[in-house]
Amino acid sequence: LIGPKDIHRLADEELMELVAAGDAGAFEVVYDRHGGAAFSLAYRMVGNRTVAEDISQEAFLSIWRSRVRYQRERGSVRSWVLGIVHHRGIDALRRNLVHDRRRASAEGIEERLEAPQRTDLEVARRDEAQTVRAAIGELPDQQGKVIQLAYFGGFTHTQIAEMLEMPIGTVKGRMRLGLEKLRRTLNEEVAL
Amino acid sequence: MTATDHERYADDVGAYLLGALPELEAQIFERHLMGCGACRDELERLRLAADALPGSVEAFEPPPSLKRSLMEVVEAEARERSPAAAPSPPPRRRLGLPRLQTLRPQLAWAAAALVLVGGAIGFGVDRLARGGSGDRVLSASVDPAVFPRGSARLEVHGQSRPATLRVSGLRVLGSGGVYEVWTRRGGTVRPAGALFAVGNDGSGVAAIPGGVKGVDEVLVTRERAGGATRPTEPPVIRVRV
Repeated sequence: LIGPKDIHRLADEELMELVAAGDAGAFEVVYDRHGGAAFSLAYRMVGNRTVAEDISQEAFLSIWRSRVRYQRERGSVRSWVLGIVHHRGIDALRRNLVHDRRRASAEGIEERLEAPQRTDLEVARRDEAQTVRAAIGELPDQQGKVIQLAYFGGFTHTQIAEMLEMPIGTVKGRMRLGLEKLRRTLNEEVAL
Repeated sequence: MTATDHERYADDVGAYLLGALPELEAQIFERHLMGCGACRDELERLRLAADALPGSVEAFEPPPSLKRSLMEVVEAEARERSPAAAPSPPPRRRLGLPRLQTLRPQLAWAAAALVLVGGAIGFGVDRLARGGSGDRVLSASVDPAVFPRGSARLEVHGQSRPATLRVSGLRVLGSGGVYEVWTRRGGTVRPAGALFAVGNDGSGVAAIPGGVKGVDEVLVTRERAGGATRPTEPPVIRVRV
């Protein structure tokens, strides 16, 4: 039997096996590890604290209720969780749940709830955030713009094409090229 | 799969990973992916970059109330799933979200008895019982071409109280798939606010938070994870209310 203390030592993938068996304690550890990133992503997308909370809660409840669907060969638990949050965030944006479509920017967030730097892991994640931000910053302007409008803004390629007054094919091409450059830059960072 | 097909869809990879394809286009692209190894490889290569994007977000601490309300629901549902669990009152929830629960043995027997009394088996819509308080159990039609062994019923507890849809004989959907419940009023179909998955035994439960007042039909479709805003396939389950 795995005690409450031991459960915190388990890898995410092992925790998900317990969650699949209906272990609420294991689910709580998964939330503790990824709830902050989930909320932060939702907040970044919708720029509204209440909607971000709703998105996070819906996402984690869907994880709990359909927990058999996690497959470790498809990637990390963190990516899987954030993928679900992202999908729900897009859904909220497209259903116009967020009336104020202001995107939360570094200056625009009124209620700062900044996470404290508590552990080495948090520090590492903060470094990672800076690395990814820098990599996005290195993208050609139009590539960075279409990626951010799509991923964080929840806009479709058609809407982006209208906004930026460019053909849909160009928008799709820039998305692909931008991701390709981002991948190369991040790989170089890892190799260094 | 021809080279022309591949060329037509190759640029969709980035838009798909970023969530920028509308629902229908995403489904068409997913179908293309099944037959195109080059696009699958490209997708996995670029997924690394797309997965890194949330890492760029400034970190914010979620409010403690979020975890509290979430764990209230989770712990209550875990207790209900436990065979030794004692009955407990429904947890307080912030959202009017559907709640999955296992079939309580006494309710299962009661429902089974109703099925026998009503003699309703298989396809078709039959009103099985109507209690004095407005409680009803309605059988559903399950598309036999999709789920030959499927069956479902809707438990209605008064018009405005949450209704419960119980299914069996369904298939566990692959990664990214979920069953979504809809309500139809006249010609208007809306999400019922209920997504569910089935267990390995093919059974599952979904609650319809708003009840079925004014609803003509309850429908179920298979959708991508997170659900859809409108059905993307013909219903696999129908319940006439």
